[in-house]
Amino acid sequence: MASLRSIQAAGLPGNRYFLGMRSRRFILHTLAYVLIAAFLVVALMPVAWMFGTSFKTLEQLRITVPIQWLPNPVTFENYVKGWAVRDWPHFLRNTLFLAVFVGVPTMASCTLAAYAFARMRFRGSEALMLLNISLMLIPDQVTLVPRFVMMARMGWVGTWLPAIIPSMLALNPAMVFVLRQFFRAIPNDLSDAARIDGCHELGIFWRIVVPLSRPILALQIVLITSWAWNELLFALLYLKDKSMQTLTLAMQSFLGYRGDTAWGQMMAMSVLMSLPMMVLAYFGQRYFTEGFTLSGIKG
Amino acid sequence: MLPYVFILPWILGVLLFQAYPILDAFYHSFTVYDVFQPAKWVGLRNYRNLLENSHTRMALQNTLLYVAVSVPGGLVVGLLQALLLNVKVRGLQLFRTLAIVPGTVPAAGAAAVSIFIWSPSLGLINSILEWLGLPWRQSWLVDPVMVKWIFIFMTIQGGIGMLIFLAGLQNVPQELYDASKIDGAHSMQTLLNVTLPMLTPYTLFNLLTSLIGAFQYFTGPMLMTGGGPAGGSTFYAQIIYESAFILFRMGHAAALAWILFVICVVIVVVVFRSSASWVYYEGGN
Repeated sequence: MASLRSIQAAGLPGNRYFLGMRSRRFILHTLAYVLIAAFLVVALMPVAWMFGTSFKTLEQLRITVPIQWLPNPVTFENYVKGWAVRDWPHFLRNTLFLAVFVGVPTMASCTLAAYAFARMRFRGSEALMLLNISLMLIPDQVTLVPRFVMMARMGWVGTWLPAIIPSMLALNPAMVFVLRQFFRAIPNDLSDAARIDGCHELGIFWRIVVPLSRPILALQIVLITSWAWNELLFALLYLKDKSMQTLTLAMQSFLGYRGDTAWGQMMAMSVLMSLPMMVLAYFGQRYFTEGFTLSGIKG
Repeated sequence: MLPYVFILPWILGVLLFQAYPILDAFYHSFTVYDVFQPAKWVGLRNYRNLLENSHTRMALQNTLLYVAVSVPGGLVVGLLQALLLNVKVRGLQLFRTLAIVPGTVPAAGAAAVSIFIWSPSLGLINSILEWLGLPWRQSWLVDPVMVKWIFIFMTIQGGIGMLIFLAGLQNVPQELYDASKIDGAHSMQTLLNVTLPMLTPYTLFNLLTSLIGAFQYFTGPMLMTGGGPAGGSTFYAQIIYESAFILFRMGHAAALAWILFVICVVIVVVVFRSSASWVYYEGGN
């Protein structure tokens, strides 16, 4: 036995693999490092360019050989000038409003519906869940126009109601589905025990299922906030009024004025707009791997 | 009673904001309608006009090309990235964080950076080509044929799909890996016979959501080129928006929406039907 083991350790033939386990792992890890580095370099290049340019002076914008990644000298002028061009805090506030006005009611209504679908028995639950999955796969553009006409008829355009009312009605089939997947995976023992102790269904929902679902709920908050930071179509239709415009709309009009001299400022404002999302993603990423489960997608 | 109370908001939402608009769009797709005057029935005229309109055809072609290339591309890239970021190397947490950084740049910021990078006079791409001494400098976004390919390749990213695959990888039971190791499987065999089959529910989810997402592609071209030049980067979602809210041709837009609806239903049904033969559910559920 001992001799066999030493042969394996030496990675000599006689082992089933030509190389020993350890050197195989070494090769695998080196390969992984090389590939990860290659992928990160390509993926991060635009971001690096954005950060670098935001600190460059006008003269440094010219194409140079070799490419100048780092600004030298460093200037904050782009930030100062770009900040002065628009009332950014106003647009930031509206973006946060959008996130909150959509996020809070959506979370409340979708959590309740998902709880019923995942953990309560009622007639038609399977069929309705199937309907929910189908709705998840219908592009928003299909219902876009009639929805807008409807909201306009009710006089909601120009208010925050088009954001709030559909959110109160769980108009996010993807979230209902993802939450239901998570709730289903929570063991029944806890809720059974609570039920025996005389706990009401609403109590089980609020005291047991919601606290245990923190990862998936946190993930939903991250996703809704990032939606508010990215959304253009909804903003173009419902938030056109200057008092309600979001950061995306403000950036769109800023981009409309582009001349080659304004690149530094545009990059600087893009950096500022991206920073909150980067922080959020940093804290949100671990919830992703904890929160996402798709076992039994069929229902 | 209680479950129905819980799903009551959802039911109201489905009826008011999903079912009603879909039926309303169906009706109005057979009418001429500008919101200000009552709708007038014109039968199939909208549909006929759309099929004859070269702008619409171009948008549909661009969108189908976009779907056909960027969806499979994004799935493969997302899967490879996830597999890569699942190898337990030192510094993994840092790599995972860095990998999601590009996806955190908001659409408006990403649009600004992209316009700049592809800029003919000051852009990074032309700089790199010049630096490498290659004579391939182009006008990029100003070229009606090249512009759509730029949008297609720009959006081939792992993105959220990568995170979903990564989540899926965490859910592969360790016993399966142990068993395949005991059976003497190579890492390639383990990948093909354990990891990929166990990931198929996640692949299905990513496939469906990215397909539907691709048909809705709107923000990037809208911010960067407005669909130009010469309709070269006009995608389907944009012409729905334009016919309804720029041209006020609601009947037209409704017909466009219904064509999109039918295309998506067909695709979803085909994918779901085929999924029975390639998606593996643990416990046969």
